[in-house]
Amino acid sequence: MTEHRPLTQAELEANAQAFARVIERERATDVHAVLARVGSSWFAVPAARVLRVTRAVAPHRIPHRTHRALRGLANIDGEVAIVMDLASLCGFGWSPSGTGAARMIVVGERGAAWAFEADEVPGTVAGSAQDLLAAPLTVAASGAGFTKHLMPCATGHAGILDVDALLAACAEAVRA
Amino acid sequence: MSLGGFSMFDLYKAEAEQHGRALSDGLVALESATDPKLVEPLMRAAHSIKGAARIVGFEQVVTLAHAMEDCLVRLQRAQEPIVPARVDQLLKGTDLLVQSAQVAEADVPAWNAAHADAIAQLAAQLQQPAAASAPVSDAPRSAADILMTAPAQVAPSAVAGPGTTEPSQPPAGSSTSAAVTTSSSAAPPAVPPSSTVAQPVHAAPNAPATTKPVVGESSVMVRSRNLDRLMRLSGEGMVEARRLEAMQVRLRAIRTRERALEDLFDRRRQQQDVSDLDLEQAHAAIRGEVALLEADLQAHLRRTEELSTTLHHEAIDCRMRPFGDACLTIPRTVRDLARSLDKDATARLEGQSVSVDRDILRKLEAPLTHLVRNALDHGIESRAERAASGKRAQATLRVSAVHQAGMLVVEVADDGRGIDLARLRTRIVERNLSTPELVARMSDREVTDFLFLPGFSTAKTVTDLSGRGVGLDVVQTTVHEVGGSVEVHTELGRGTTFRMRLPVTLSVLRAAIVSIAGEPYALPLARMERIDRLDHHTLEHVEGRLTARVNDEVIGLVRGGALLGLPGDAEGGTLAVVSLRARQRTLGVIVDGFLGEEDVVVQPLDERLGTVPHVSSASVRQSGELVLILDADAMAIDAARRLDEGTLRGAAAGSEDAGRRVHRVLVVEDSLTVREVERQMLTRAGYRVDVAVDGLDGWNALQRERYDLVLSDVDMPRMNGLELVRRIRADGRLTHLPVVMVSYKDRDEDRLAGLEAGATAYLTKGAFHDRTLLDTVADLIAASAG
Repeated sequence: MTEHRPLTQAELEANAQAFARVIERERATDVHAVLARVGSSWFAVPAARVLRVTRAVAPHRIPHRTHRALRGLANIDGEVAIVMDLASLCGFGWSPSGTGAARMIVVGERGAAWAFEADEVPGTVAGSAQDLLAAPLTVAASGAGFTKHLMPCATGHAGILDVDALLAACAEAVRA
Repeated sequence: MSLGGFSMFDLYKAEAEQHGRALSDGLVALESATDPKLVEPLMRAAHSIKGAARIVGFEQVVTLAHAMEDCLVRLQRAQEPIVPARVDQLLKGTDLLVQSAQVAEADVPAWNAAHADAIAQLAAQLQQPAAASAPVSDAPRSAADILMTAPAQVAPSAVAGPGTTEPSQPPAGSSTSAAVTTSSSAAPPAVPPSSTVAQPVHAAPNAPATTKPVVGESSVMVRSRNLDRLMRLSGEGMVEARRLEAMQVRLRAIRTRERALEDLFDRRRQQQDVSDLDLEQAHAAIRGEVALLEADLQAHLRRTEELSTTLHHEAIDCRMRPFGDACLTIPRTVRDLARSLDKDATARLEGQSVSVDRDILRKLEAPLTHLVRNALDHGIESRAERAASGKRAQATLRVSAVHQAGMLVVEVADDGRGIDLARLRTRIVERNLSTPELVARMSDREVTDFLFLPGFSTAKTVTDLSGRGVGLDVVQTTVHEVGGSVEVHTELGRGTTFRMRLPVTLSVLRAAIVSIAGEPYALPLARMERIDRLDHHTLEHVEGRLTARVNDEVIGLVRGGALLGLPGDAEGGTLAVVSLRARQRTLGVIVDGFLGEEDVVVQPLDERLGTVPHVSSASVRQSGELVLILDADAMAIDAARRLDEGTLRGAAAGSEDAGRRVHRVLVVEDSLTVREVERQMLTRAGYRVDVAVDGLDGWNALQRERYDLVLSDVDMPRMNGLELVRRIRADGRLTHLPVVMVSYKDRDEDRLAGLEAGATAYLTKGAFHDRTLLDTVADLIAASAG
């Protein structure tokens, strides 16, 4: 059995550097998000909050509920989710094309999921917090307030959604 | 200190609850049997609680349990007789023991301090001879006391009391004239509520209102047998799923053989030496494999179906609890109440092991308690009255449950004085609820139904317990809520039976699936009168409103979409009408169509939505499609109210409806898929859409109905789109009707041909994928209207 011996200073430094590299590498991609296009706008939904991305199903409207952002209820992989219109919540016009939206992003918690329709969900992006841009004034100040930062992506920039703020707005909309 | 995740205190709680219940049940049994042999288990229960309480430092419980144990020892040795006053004291002690099991560990010192006096007093009484220790003020649970803890309200009188001295009543002693009040002179007299409440035991701070533990939603008790079966079935499910792998292997073999056959064909085409026999052999091999695969697949399908059905039933069974769970407190309630009313009654429970859905069981408790109180207060006579009418001294209250024809039937029956129906009829007339002539013609069943009306009471004397005209209506409301019914059977002088019919489970219900405004909804069959398919032309117009003749009755119609606040009601040749009934009026709801009858598994509606009017729950159909389950009662009542208010209008004979002009679009398209896409798109955008399968069909529709826009394909059988447009433009009434042509043909000459024929706009089918189509439709309708 090998005997324990104290580490030399050089070994300690080497270890410290090795750890630091891991941290640096993590910092380089500390923002993970799922990209989604709604109309001509690109959104980045923090990956940790996304439950799943699925094929879109036509939502069932809810009687007596007329809020523009509330699309209805849908059975998504055996679970009933409330389907919301992200565009309406953000205040821009969009309607799913004739055959309905292509994809749905399911966000929130199991048993209390929110689904958002999107024209396409090409995948995830990862980036560093340092690369994020502040959202322009027209978006951050006069918009719905769900986007505080922009993230570079292949098509330009995607607005990183503040999921908590978005879900709070959803919760308000469904009771209206 | 903890034992496998349970603290010592948790163990104490479990023990106190278990032995407390044993004490409570045992004491009630002991009182009627007065058999010292029944005492021993009670002694052991008290002893166990004492030991457990000592470990967790519950001093007052130790004192109390010790005094109770001593007292029980004397009863067992027959050193003193078993008398009701003594049983009262022991039950009071038991209540405190059970209550202690509800205390949080941190609150034990406070509980000890708060209850020290009461327990010292009770312990002293338990040491004294029984007779001396039963002072008047010590009646432990007077009627008023029970009333304080009774859920919501008390039951009304269902019975004409003997005090009314109807000629038909048997002669009774004069002392029975006030039998239903609590002021009877017999011992022990009930005390006024104030003095009861003032007693230290009942004034204890933070004392839970009931001794029943609050069951959280997060955990439910499931019989281990159920769980075992579920495990076994899910295991079988896994095995079945693996069989698919074997089938896949077989399928691959077929593929290989099929390729071999293809090779043979190729070689034969190239004139090589392949005989017919070779081909036949190769084909036979494939056929053999396919047959095997088919057999495998069929067996698999059958097994999977059986398995999933069994699994589903088993899962439902997990929701079941024995009916006895709802009856735990009944013997005690009967005993205490009878004693406080100076009546002699005993409870007989039947069908305790009958399985009941736990949701129904929970809802059943309040109505059961109401009916038990009602029976004791009004149904069961005083001792004197029973003696005078030659009945057995002790009255029996039977509470039973049985499964009958797929329903759970729960009965609360007493052998008391019964309901005087003649007096009930008089009362109905006195209350101006009906005319004497009508009441005389009513059946007994119809007459007893009045008992369930809110505010209806036959009791002349308002007692503390009942006769205030509330209660039975609450019973009925609760029973209706779960989709059940309640009725009364009574025989004067012999007794009264309340019979509740309830669904066995709330988790599955039989429903009609209908389409309203283009989407599926489920209507529980038990809650609707009927569905009729009616032809549009058989409808009659009254003041411009549609009416239908259903079952020899002319009923008014409302559109389902208008009632649910959804645009997009379909309108066409045949329509389905669902008849609902509320407040003696029948209402027809026009739905787009009747899609079939299904068992739907009820899922609660998402809590985040709050209450959605007319929708009770949701379900997922076998196709995976979501349906909303409608509350037919609420719809009918609400529709009647809104029609009265004028906020909902009956379906109009013309296209105009519900106050808002809904634009109508005719979709003419021979492809089913494209037609459906267009219909759904436009319906969702708020248009009322009719469809036609080709130009001729479309032309016929235009002769019958008026539309705001036509959306037409170009290439169609019988009459193409260009011909249709030409006809439209040639017709004087339709000259200005906007027509949008939609085609796959996107060449300029095609576009030109369409516009030359008279189309207002020409779009390619790619227009589905963005707003172009909807925008065009909206613009053109707006332009032609303006």
